[in-house]
Amino acid sequence: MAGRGAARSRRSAGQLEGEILSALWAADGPMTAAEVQVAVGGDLAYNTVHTILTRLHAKGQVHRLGPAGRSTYRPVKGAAEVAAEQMRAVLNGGADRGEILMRFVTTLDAADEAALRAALDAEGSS
Amino acid sequence: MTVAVYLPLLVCVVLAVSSRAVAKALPPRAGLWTLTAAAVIAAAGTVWTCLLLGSLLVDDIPAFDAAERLVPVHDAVSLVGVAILGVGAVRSFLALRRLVQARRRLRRLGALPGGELLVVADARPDAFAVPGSRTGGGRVVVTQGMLRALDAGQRRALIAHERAHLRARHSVALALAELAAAMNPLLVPVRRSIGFLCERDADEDAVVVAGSRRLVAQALAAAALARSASAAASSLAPGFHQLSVAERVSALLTPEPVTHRRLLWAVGAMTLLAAGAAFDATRDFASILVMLVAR
Repeated sequence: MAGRGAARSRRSAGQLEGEILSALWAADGPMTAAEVQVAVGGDLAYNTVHTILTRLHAKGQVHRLGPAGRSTYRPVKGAAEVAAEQMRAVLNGGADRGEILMRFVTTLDAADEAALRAALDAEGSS
Repeated sequence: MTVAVYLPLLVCVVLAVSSRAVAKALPPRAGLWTLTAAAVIAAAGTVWTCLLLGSLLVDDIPAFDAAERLVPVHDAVSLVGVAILGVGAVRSFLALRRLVQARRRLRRLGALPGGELLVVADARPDAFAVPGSRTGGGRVVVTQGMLRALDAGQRRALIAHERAHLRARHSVALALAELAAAMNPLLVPVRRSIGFLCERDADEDAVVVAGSRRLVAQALAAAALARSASAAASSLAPGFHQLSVAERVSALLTPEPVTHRRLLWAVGAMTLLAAGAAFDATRDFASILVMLVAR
């Protein structure tokens, strides 16, 4: 696979929307575009952040508050509670068994946790 | 025929025994599809073997004495074949029903309004991908608890990882592996290896997007530790253990994981051998049938 392990990050529009929305969700209150730019980290230009925030607002995924130019943004939370219920239904319904669910990480057992800490320690000291 | 008919079962055993070691050494993308194809063919071979063995029971009619001598298979073996077939059929049916139900529930979750990223109001850290329809779509579901447990770079890695699952259509491989393992329980470790390779593949894609192996490794570690802390605190039902997160982290911490493309050919050749043997056994079987009909 050419390009794997490349030093530069390459991010698509979908990826960037996800990152910006997740930054808003992780924050405690509304954020300005400049604050979002910092919260997303890395090398994103202010204009890019602003464009994506505008697009998210147009799609109804974020609220825009305050006057133009000094607006703050916060995520639309309507679906989140419903989603929580639906998610519990999915997880209790047996999707948890087997490998049906494409989960980021599974629960660790004690041995896993020790191995994980050891791997990170070894990396940190090298 | 006597040897050939059992070869698919032998291949299942070899796959089962070697799958864990093989999973760690295969290149993830090509490896997961090769192993999935191997599992499906091995499961189909199992069905075929059992059908052939089972159908020999029919030959107990006195007129078929000649055929009995040509096919030295003990009735007990045939009965075992029938039993395996029956158990496999029931398990496959249950697995299929579970898959369909899970898919239906996931689809309901995926149909909620919003963009590709769906944030869930839940304090427990969790994240997974919900496959879309054939035309695309698909959602990345993340709990608020998970987003708060990670920093910006780690969130980038998480989103990239789940998006990679969707783009690479891993759900197809996982469903096929689930059904193959239901048909032949010997293939359960193979299913687990396919799950591991899907995760490894998505991890490597996340490396490309996030720009750093180390960053993805840290994201995995942070998410896993947050999850286990929350599980300990709230008696969260322990999730199913895949090949461990620790192994994925150590693969990410090596600069360029050593994979062996030759192994792909080995798995492929073995699978073809099983398919060939099944074909050979079928041909012998067919010629016996022809002989019986001709009498």
